Amino acid sequence: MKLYEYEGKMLLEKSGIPIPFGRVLKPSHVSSDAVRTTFNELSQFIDAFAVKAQVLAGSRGKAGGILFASNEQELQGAVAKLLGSELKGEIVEEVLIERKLSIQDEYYVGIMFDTKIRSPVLIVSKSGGIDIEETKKNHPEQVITEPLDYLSAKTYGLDPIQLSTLFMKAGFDASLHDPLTHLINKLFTCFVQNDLKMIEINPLVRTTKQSLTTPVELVAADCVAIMDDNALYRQTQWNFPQRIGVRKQPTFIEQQARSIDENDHRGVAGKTFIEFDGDIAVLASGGGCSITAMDALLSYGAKPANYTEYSGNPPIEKVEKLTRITLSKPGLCGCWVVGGVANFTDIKETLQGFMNAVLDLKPDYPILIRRGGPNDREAFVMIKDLAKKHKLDITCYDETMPVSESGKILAEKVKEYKKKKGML
Amino acid sequence: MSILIDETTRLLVQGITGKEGSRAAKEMLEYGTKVVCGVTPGKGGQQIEGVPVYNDVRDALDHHPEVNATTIVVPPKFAKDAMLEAIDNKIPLIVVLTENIPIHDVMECYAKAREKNLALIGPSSIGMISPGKCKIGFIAGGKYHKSYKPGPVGIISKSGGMSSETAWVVKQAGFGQSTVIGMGGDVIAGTTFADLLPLFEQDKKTKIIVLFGEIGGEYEQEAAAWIKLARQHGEFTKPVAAFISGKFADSLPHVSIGHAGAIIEGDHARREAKVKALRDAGVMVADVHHELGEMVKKILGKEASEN
Repeated sequence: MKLYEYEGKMLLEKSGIPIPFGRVLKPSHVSSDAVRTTFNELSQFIDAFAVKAQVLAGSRGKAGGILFASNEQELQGAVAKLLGSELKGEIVEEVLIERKLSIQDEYYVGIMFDTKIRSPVLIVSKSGGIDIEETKKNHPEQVITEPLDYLSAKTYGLDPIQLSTLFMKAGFDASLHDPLTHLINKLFTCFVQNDLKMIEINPLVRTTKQSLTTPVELVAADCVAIMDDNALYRQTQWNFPQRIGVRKQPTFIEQQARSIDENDHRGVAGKTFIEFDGDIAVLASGGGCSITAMDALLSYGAKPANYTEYSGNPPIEKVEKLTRITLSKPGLCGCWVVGGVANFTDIKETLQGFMNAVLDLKPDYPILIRRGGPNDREAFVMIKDLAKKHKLDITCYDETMPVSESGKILAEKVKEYKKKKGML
Repeated sequence: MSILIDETTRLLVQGITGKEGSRAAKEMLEYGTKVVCGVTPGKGGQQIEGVPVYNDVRDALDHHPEVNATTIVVPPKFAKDAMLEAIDNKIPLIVVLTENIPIHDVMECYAKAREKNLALIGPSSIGMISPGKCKIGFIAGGKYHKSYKPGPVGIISKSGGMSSETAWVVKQAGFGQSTVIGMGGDVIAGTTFADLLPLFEQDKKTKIIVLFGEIGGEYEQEAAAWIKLARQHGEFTKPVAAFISGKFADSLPHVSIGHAGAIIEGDHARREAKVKALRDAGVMVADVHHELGEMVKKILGKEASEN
């Protein structure tokens, strides 16, 4: 689960990494009065503000998602401009108002899992900031990646010699080595304790502030973090709201489908639902199989109308609901129920749910079912009887028909159907 | 022959009293796997399908020192402890069926297993099968005769469901399998394509290796790099055919679909990049999944299918 900047900064602060002083404004408390209150509160400590749209997409600054203000009027204007606006396809629902830092230098530090070496890596660069992607491309030598010994780092902290060698390679001057070592150790602890897949501070700002007690001040001006979905159960102290992908406005059909599981936790149906421009409805089961199935449709020149999955033996009603929603899309020319060989999903029950919706809607386009698993024979007998009785074009295959080949057959049937209808 | 498991495998099942654990034990026994004991903390003294249950791995091994493999079928919350128990007791083959284990738990266990030179398969593995000899986990379900028979094709699959589907298209082309392994699609996989390919190279019976890859991560590229290098040094001689799913996901923005590891996190995680890397290494890559069968047939020819 990708975190918003302000959520990521909550993790950093808890781990002892300095972040700019600030407040989050959410739609529930945004009125010009609320902005004034925030201004009055913050202006006791801050004289220049950064107003930052909270979206999950990267390169937000370049897209106009960060504005600056130095008085209440400018702050009101910046908040009004950002809240509710669309930024890189996302609706801005929260803004973070914080101290605008006086920047001397911008660095980059990040820790993430690298599947290639099956280990976490530390990435640092002296040239952080909004152009880090460019730097990575054009001056890869300025972005230093170093594998970390997970077990030893977790027990004893990061190896100080490894770090100082790394800092020298990255070109940091000696006065920065100690403060960076402290910060990166805290970042690693943050990475482990919060079950993060990755965490990135970019830019890590060295401010112009200098004193005898603080010769170097490092502040995390931005934060990108991804929390492991599988570990959310033990990260309850944060209680961040669930999100699916980025906060795009879901289509009506997507919204309906994703709500099926809300009050019924038996199996999964429609949790993932993505609508496309095509004309073949797809009801798939099983992660690996459903991706292969979608690929096959594309390979044979057919266009899926959606992608969705049901699995884990959902009850009849849930499959029926998902079928109704999926088939409600206008302009469909075919439907594919596709899955591998189920281990415990009852094929007769789930296909009964599918048929309940089909018998109600009575589509005249071809339907192809490719499925195996408990009670599949009984399911196919039931469907063949119903299809005959209600004059529906339904073909059933068991697991002896390869998944991708059944996609080819359906693509051909849909072509024929369109010809017959004068659509081709 | 086969790799990692055969008729000499003596299996422990961790989580044997659970719903899934007992189902797995039953299926494996039916297939002929020598399931010699099980473990569930607090359930010691029971029997599941005639298999004695112990409270911990140490106790099980004291009674059954012949154990040389374990499979873990416990809820994700308890998977780390189960894996660490198996690792501490140095069981050489640890097959983890549990899905949705937190990455940091997997990372720690993988690092410890590697220190002790133990083979950790999974997490999220559907299991593995050497047809006619032994099966560990849910692979093939109860319908093993349909897709599996002994033969010359080694299969490694990230996707569990597609491991049987891949075995099936291979069998339809007329060939059986030496060993089929579900490596799981997690971000940190205990064992990858590149870890298993050298084992298939050493196995005399295996004549070709088929890979089922997915979008996400870089294990396909790792395999490609290994194959290229090993071929140059004459250390790897066998043909490889692959299918990488995720063509349609390449056309989508950042949406996560399918398995945990199948989250596109950069261009290298996309299908196109994987296909290119594998083709550069001389691997044949099928555009559509069932073409794998034809590919295997073309390479091995009629002669091998009769062997």
